[in-house]
Amino acid sequence: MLKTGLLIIFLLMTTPVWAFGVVENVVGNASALNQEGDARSLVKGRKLESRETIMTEEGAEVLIKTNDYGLLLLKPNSKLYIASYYMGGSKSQLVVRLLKGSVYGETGRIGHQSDAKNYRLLTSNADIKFNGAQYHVALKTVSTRLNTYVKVDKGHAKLSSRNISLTIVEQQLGVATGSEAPHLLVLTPDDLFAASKLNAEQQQLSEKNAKKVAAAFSRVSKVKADDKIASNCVADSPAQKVLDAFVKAYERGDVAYIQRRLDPSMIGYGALLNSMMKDVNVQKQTRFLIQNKNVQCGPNLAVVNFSWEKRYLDLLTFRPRLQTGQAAVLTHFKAGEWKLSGITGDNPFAPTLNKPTTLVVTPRTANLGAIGTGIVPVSSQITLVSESLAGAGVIQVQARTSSGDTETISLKESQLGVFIKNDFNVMQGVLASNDGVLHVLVNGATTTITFKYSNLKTGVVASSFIRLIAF
Amino acid sequence: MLLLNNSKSIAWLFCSIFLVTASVHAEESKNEANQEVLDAWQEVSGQSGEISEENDGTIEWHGQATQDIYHVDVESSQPGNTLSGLDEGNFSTTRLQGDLRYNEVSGAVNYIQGGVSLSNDEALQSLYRSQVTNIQFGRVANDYQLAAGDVVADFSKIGSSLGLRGLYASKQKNAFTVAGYAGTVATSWESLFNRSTITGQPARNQYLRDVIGTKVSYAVDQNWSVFGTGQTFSDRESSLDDALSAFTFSESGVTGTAGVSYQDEKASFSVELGTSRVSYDAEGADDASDTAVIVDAAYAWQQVNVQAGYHHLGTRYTSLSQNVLSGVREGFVSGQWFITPNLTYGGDVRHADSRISNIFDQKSPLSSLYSLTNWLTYSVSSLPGLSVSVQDTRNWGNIKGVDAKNQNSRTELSTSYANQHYSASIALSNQKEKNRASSLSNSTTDGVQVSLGRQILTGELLMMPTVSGNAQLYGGYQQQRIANGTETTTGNQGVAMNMGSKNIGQWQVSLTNQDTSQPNGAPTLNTKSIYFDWTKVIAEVFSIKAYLSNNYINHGDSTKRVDEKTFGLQGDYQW
Repeated sequence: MLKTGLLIIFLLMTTPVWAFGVVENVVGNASALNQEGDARSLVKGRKLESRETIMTEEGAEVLIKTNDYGLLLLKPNSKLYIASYYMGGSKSQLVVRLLKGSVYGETGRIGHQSDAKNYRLLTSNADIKFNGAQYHVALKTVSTRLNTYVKVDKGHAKLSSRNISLTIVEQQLGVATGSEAPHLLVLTPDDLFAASKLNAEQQQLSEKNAKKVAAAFSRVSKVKADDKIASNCVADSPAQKVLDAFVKAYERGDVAYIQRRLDPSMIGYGALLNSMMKDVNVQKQTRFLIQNKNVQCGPNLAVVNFSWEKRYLDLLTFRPRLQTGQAAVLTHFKAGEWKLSGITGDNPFAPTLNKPTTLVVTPRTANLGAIGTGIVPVSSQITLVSESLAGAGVIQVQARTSSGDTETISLKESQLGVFIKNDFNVMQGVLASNDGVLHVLVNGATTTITFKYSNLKTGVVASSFIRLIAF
Repeated sequence: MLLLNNSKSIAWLFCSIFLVTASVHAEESKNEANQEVLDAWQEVSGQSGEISEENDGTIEWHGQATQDIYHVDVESSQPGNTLSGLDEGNFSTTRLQGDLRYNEVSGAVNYIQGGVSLSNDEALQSLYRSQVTNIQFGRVANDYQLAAGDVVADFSKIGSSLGLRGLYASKQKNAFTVAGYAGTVATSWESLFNRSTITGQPARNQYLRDVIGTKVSYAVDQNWSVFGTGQTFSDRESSLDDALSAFTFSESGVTGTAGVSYQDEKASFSVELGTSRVSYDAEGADDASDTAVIVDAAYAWQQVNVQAGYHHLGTRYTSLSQNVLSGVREGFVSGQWFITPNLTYGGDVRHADSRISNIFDQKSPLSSLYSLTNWLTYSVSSLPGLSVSVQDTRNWGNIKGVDAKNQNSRTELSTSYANQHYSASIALSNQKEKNRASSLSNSTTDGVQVSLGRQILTGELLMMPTVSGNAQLYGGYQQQRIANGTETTTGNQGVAMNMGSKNIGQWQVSLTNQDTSQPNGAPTLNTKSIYFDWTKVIAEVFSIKAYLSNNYINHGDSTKRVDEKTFGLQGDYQW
């Protein structure tokens, strides 16, 4: 126990610096500029850290082995800034910015994770995400424009520029010009990657290094194993952010955003969007509260369980409304991003399909102290929403106090499928069922009244409750 | 099934599997004492957060601890929680998350990961002071995988796609892969073990569902694969409080599916057929069988991407896939056409018929929906950063036999410009809602939204900025004309800024103001919000954050007014 305790304390107190990698070989003059502005010549074995800028002069090259077992070969006359490097489960990330020249790279563990967003190379006009790739990136001025060229030897890359993304697979060449959508090129510009090819000596070094890396870490199988382990259960993982982004977009009525984030092949896609568009038109000032969240994760699938409260003003009356429920959303990793693919339980986005009947009492608390031996109307609204009961006119709800009294309360249909009663009568005293008044025995600080709707012929059931508390 | 009927058995099963896994690999590992872990850690601390042992593998231990201490004030013009979900008081919220892995030289990984949240804020955790957010442990090797705890089964679209609390295993042998799961579907670990809630409410509001499933797949070649799934479920009748169970019913069922899929660099295609049978524990309800079929395909040419699908799921089709919506028959075609490098067109057309039914097979009227979306984006090549786009979405719905035709549409024209220093956008929108069933709330809404942004960078551009950040000004106006002859308008203005530097840390602030007029001459609702936070990274792994959020909502109407004020401190440690 003591050892374990010491280990935990030690691990918590240790604050490792996230080293980026080590210089494996240098040809010619190359240097690194740290964030304090101090420049140092690079030699073999020199460790590199985040926020350093690596620079090569004419005829110089630097080969770097990154700490996640990847490789970077910075070509002559080039400049590369290590923007961010972090190892930590799903948060692992490698971000470099190519400021000048060209670079050849092989992704390591970070670039092999299922979330390809973690390995990024930025340029002034492009954001490139690599997955399991061997690649070349070069900057070249054409006319007055600086173009970013990306060639993939193995794996694939996602080249984004001007909010448009292009997937580049093996043996394809893509370009981002900054003034048009990224697109594929059929032919490689003659001199572009000639300098990026490894010479015989470098190739030998690369292979030797790759073997060393593989031997030290069983790289491929390790990466494969990691890919099968969930890494999205942390609070701000991309899988969970999908729900947050959905809720925010729904609150501001941005259906177009939601539409872009749904998989077109989702079952019920059309009905969900249609329902959201309806909601946006009849709900004002929508606000969500997500509670009791817990997550179940796999590498490419996550299930978020939560309860929710939705508040809004009804368009016609501007009366405050409150809906609550318990739901689970399913998010899938597909085509390079996490997308919502299913909702079960009480759908907070209120789709037409399979929308469960809901019975809500608001407010859910009332002052028990105000209940005397005379009849007191409690101003809590009972609302039952049921599409399958639409057109029924009136429905009846059973109410039962925790003291044992039961009554039947009629709710009138105020709009199609929405049944409402604005108050109900309560008094202290001897229990008398079906007299139109809910009797409570006040022998404690709280008492509960449960409301239930049940129709076994239609299979529709719903329930809710109110707590009477001595304020 | 025997095991599934008893949560204690499942807990024992978890423990047994873990112990067996641990003991089997204890011999393989020469790490017999924590001291070795310490030594190894010291050897590389300050390097990569990874404990290296060249000969025996590695141990990785990562995690995050976040502590919030905050105060909330709520002043509401109405009793109860109708206007605000926040609670008043001083609160503390702690979140812990950890991930421990032992990486063997063979490439296999043994791991345990989990998280817990502790809070006395009932607006965040309404049922428990402490709550498990996730827990999973297992072993992954080249050709097999074992997992226990919070696991997911992602078998197929209409077979199994769910999260459960139980066991998962898969094994690959040549081109065959066999996977299986067993466990219970519950909304949380607390509900699974029926832990008492702080409010006295029942821990469960739905039945615990015991589930078992399996999948066999065969990779014909690099592109083609075939698969079959089988799954069964059974609700535990005794798992729900009597008061709740009187108003619902338990179910049990079995589902089988079979499918074929194809995938290459340009094309994908999948077909899956399913059949199910379900029984209800309700008097007068008969067992029900139904079928489902889904077909999805996609193809990418050089300039055109197309995706299409057809889904038909019977009204009584039941499965363990949370993707499934029973009673749907829908088809769609969706795609993008990169007309020129500057011009892209996208479209989506679909039709869906849907019908829900109850346990007595009484079908609701058939709902029919047609949807069409078109969008066009043009990037102006002579002015890099400038683009114009238009998007239009329309839905036409109807319920057969009911006078409930409905239509809605939304059209948006927007243009945006961005360079390294400035950004600007303007969007004009029009949306319409027509519904015969609730014609009083039919409406037409016109809106405009404008924003201006400024990117701030000092120091060497994009390399090591000493100060970076951005500021954005925005405003908008919306007018909604309602069919009952009234109208409501909303005007909003705001400013949002964030700034950061190595010395002062990161801070962001936003101020918003919104006025919404109510129909029928009721007072205008004014809402003002202020948000501020400041984050300072003390070390690369530790940061502190101070935050303040004040919302003054619906001032002007004493029946809807609510003020929410929050301020607090957060510490975050990652390792």
